Amino acid sequence: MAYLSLDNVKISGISTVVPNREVVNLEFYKSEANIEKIVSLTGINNRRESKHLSARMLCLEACKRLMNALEWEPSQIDLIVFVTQTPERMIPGGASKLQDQLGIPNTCMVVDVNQGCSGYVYGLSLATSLLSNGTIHKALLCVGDTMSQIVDKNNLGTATIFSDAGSCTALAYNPNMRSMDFNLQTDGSGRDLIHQSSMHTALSMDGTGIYVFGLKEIKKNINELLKITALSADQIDVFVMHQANKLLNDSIVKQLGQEPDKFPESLSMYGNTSNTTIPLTICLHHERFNKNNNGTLCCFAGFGVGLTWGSAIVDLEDSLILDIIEIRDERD
Amino acid sequence: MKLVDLGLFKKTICQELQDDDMDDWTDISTWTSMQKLLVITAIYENFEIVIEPMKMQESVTIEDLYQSINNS
Repeated sequence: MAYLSLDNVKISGISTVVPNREVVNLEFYKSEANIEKIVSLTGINNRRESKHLSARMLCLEACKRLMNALEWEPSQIDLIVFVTQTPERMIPGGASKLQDQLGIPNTCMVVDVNQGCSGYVYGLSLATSLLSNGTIHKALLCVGDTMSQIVDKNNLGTATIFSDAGSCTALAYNPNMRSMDFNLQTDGSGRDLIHQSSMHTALSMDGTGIYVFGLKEIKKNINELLKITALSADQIDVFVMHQANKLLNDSIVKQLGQEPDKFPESLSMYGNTSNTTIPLTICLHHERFNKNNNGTLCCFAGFGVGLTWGSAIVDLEDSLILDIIEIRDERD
Repeated sequence: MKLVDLGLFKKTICQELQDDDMDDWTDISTWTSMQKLLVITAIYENFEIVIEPMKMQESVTIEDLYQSINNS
C-alpha cells in the first residue's frame, strides 16, 4: 500500500495562472444539437484555452507571483518538481528551464513528472517526501497542463471539458507542522481509458469507463486514508476534489455523505484543468482559506489518466492563497 | 449485491431516460454515451451498484443487463 505520512513540511502558498482566452461552450458549440445537455451533465460552462502559452509558461508566471508575494529569493529554492502531461519538448523536461528562467542557482534539484488528473496529489507527495528530512528547505511544486492543445475540437466528449492552467505551490521545511498524509494508487490495466497514441494525435477518452472508475475507487481511497489517520469525514473542513465533471463530482459528494458546501468547485467557470484543478479550486476560493474562519484541514483527491488516483490530508492554516491570475495568451 | 426486482430496475431506467416505450430498447449497445452515463448514475443512486460499461456493450435488452448484473 502506498501510504505516506510525512512530517515537517508546510504549504507556504499557492498561486494559479490561467490564459486570458475564455471559451463559452454554449456559444462556441451552439450549432451542436446536444450541447445544452452536455453542459448540464458536465457542469462546464466556461473554459480557458491557450494557443501560445505552454504549461511551463503558465507555471513560470505562477512561481514569479507567488515568490514575490512570499518574498522568497531564487537563491533559497532547493527543489523544483514540475508535473505536466503537455511538455513543450520531450527532451529535456521543462523543470530545468523553470530553474533557469526563475534565476535559481545550480544548487537546485529538479524533477519532471508526467502525470495527469492525480498529478497534484502525486507531485505534492514527492516534493513533501524530499523536504521532510530537513536538508532541503524550500521547494516549488509546479503543476500545469494545456490540454486544450491536444484535444480534437470536433470531439465534444473531450473538447467541451478540458481547459488550461498552471500553478505553483510553495513548500517549506517547518518542524511545527502536522503531518501530510497520502494514499496513492495505480491500475495500469485501465491505461487506455485516457490516452494519446503519439505526440501528434488527439487525446482519446472513454468517458463512461472513467466515470465508473471514479464511482468505484475515490470514496474507497479517501475512506482508507481517513481510517489510517484516525480521522472522520466530519473532521475534514474542506474536500478539494479533482474537478472531473459535475455528474461524477456530485456522485462523490453523495458517497461521502458530507454537506455540499464542504466541496468548493471551479468546474463551471474554469472547466477540467487536468492536474491543476485542485490548486485552481483553492485559489478561486482564496478568501475562504485565507480567513481561516471555517477551518483549514483539507482532503485533496485526484484521479484519472494512468489510471492513477490518490488522496491527501493537508492543513492549509496560514498558507498564503493568491487569487487566480490571468495572463495574455502570447509567446514568451 | 443482487437487484431484487426487474420491474423496479426497468422503471428506474425508464424514468432516467424519460421514455415509457421500453419495447424500443432492444439493443442497449445503441445507447449514446450520455444515455449510458445517466443510466449508470441512476442505477448507482437507486441500488448502489456500479455497472461495468462492458456489461452494457454485451447486453441486448434490459433483461439481459439485469441478469448480467445479478449473475456477477
